[in-house]
Amino acid sequence: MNFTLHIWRQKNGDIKGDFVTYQIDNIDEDTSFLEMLDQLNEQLIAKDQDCIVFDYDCREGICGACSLVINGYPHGDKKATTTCQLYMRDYKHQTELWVEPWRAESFPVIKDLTVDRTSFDNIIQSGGYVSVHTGSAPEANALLVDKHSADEAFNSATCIGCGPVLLYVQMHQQPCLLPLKLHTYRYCHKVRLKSKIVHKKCLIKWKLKALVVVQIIDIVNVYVLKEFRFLILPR
Amino acid sequence: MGTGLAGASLCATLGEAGYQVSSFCFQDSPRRAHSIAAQGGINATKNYQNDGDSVWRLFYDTIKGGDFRARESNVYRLAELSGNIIDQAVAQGVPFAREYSGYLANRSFGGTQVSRTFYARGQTGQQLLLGAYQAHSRQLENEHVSHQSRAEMLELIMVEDKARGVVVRDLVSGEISAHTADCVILCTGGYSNAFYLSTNAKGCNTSATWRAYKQGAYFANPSFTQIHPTCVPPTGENQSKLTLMSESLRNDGRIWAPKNIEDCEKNPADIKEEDRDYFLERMYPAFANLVPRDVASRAVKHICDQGHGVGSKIHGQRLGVYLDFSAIIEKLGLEAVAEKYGNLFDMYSSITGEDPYQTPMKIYPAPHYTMGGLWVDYNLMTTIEGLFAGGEANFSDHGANRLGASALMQGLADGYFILPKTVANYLANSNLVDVDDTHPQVTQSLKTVKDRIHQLMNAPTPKHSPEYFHQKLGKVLWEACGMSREVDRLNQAIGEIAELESQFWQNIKVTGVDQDLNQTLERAGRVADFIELGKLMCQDALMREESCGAHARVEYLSESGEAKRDDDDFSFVGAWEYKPEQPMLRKEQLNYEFIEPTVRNYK
Repeated sequence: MNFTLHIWRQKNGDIKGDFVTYQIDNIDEDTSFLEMLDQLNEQLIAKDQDCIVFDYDCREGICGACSLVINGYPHGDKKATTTCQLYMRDYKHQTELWVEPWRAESFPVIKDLTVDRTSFDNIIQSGGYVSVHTGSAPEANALLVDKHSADEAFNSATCIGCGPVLLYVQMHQQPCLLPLKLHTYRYCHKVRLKSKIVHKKCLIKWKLKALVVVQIIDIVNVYVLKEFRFLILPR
Repeated sequence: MGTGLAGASLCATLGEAGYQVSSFCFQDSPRRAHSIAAQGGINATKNYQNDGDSVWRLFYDTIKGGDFRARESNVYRLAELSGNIIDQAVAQGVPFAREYSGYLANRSFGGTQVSRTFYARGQTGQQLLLGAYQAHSRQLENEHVSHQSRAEMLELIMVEDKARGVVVRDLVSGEISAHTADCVILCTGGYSNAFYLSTNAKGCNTSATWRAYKQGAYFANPSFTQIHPTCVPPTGENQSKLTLMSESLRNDGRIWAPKNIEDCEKNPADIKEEDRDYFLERMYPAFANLVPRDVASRAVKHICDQGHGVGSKIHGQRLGVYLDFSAIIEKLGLEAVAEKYGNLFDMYSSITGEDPYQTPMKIYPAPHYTMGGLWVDYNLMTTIEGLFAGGEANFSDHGANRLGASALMQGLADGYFILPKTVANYLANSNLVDVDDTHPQVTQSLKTVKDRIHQLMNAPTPKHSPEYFHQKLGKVLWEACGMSREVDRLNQAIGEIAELESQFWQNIKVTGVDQDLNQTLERAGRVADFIELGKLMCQDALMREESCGAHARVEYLSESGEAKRDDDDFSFVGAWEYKPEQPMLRKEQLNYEFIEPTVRNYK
């Protein structure tokens, strides 16, 4: 398979970037999207050129490090997947690909396709945890959680924190394919109070344009995330 | 250094106790650490199933699983702490699987006959890491911990023979900075990526532990590396990594290969039941598909080497066997199976383009976990005073083979419960001189790092990328020091790696500049360390003239492929001390006071 790639190159956050066009040929259909970029980088090294920088780590769809907007879609147009889980067979009907970084004010570009997602860590640090000291926990089975709630909590907890929610909210004003489910809240106490603190702090301190508003339902003394709403707030 | 399960939980606990901690990780957030990828579960001796589990039994299973090459005292402590970890995680809100009654659910997991594994579908590592990450975040908010992401340790600062800080490269700006401290703790994971293709994240590396080794910390059992039996087979030569399919799949999936070589190309649905060889069930009737990882991996390799492998051919050989779920789907129904393994099936189908609900999965072993690591004492302190190692970075608990669902357990036991106590004890009993950034040792360490980067950026005849050297190293290691090892091949590999090392420093090509985000430079530094480690792995495998656990020397295997241990001569931890010419072997004799080493038999 042969592709013409238009890849966003940007030296750093202060310098304007642009698309640069590359040609890559003889790509096997079982090659992953990131492996295709690896091969392109190898070609750039051979030509003494600076490699294209992009984030990745586990390459099995769980760590949330990889990003990329491909032909206008975060993580490509395949539903509920990550960029590292895209394979070139998914693009067998295309010959031209446009690859860009996440574009959101809260994710400034660091270089090329890499963005700074510290905003996520800041949200968690502002109260996205359960306040329990190591060693002070009661016997695990003393806290019963009915299966339904446990499953719901799990569903809310699988977010991999990769980022397109803000992208989608900003770009299309609608929820994204991989909604940011604030896994931090799972079934914890006093979550309502915490969520308010988070929102206020985020707005002021990190100038987040879009925020996730969470509705919480009380089940016995265990709180579980039930529903997610996306709210656009003016900056 | 490192904020995976062990590192993040340690920072949280030390922070709660009031210590001032600086943490670093190379990823863009602590939540990305590769602990996140652990799928199957975490063991604990809660005995909720009343199936006879106990601290003693987990202790025994772990020692036996490690083929009697682990230290009894450390493992017993691990078994004792296992229950506390579950309590801690549940209090944090980790959504473990539950029964309809609301109680926690358990399952049985590779290498044990009791159900002691707690799990969160196939994402247990993710859920536990997020718990630890949030506890870490809480201390960041409380300002007991400060953290820097995208930062890599490139040198250990030693003052008066004690570990007193680290030199770190800011991966975004390229800035090199020194960070002094009263002690240093490495929770930087394992080194499976030495093999190039492994189930580890691409960024996983040995650089921090290797810097420590070169400063005097002993490296223990470097050849004890685990090859995991259930991974998606490689499909081509440009593959960058291999993906693990959780071992939990072996609970309900049956492993088979075609009995007749001519069936290997056929669609599995066209192969009759009587022509299928359920080889693990045939070879190990007592444990069948649940035999420990090393036993299963060798059996799969054996079957494929005999020509019964399936899947696409690489270098003339088919590397794969079937993992079949049709029986369990028939028994429990599609929905129940999907609930248990849904995300793993989805993952498999996205990688291979095949539907495991319809067609059996194909699996093949891949490097996955390293039991070896920095040698530590009972307090998890290395041979350098003030330098500790936790999680996969140390060698302490798994002997020559790790059992399923015990890596998460060990990482969290080290981080939440052991290191916070032993580090506090060390600090309370040490007389430390004041060290600041102007100390001559700090200046010297900074210079060492800068010189090394200069060398990487300016090779005499730059020709090949870091990836080129890494792939070469991986190939040598996989063939010589992978699932089976043999004296001539190991000797040859040591020579090949030495040659590769000199080529590396002559021909390494790093484009771009060092004062910038430069992933090629990062990779080059890591590959340089992997090359040196690879040589030590082969030397260790050569020294150990026996087979034990994951270390299979073909000269010391029984006819049926079982490891033949030599307790008289090799019941020791092989800890290597760095010397500029040749590493020196130091032996820690293993004294079994409570368990009598027996032949590990899973038949």
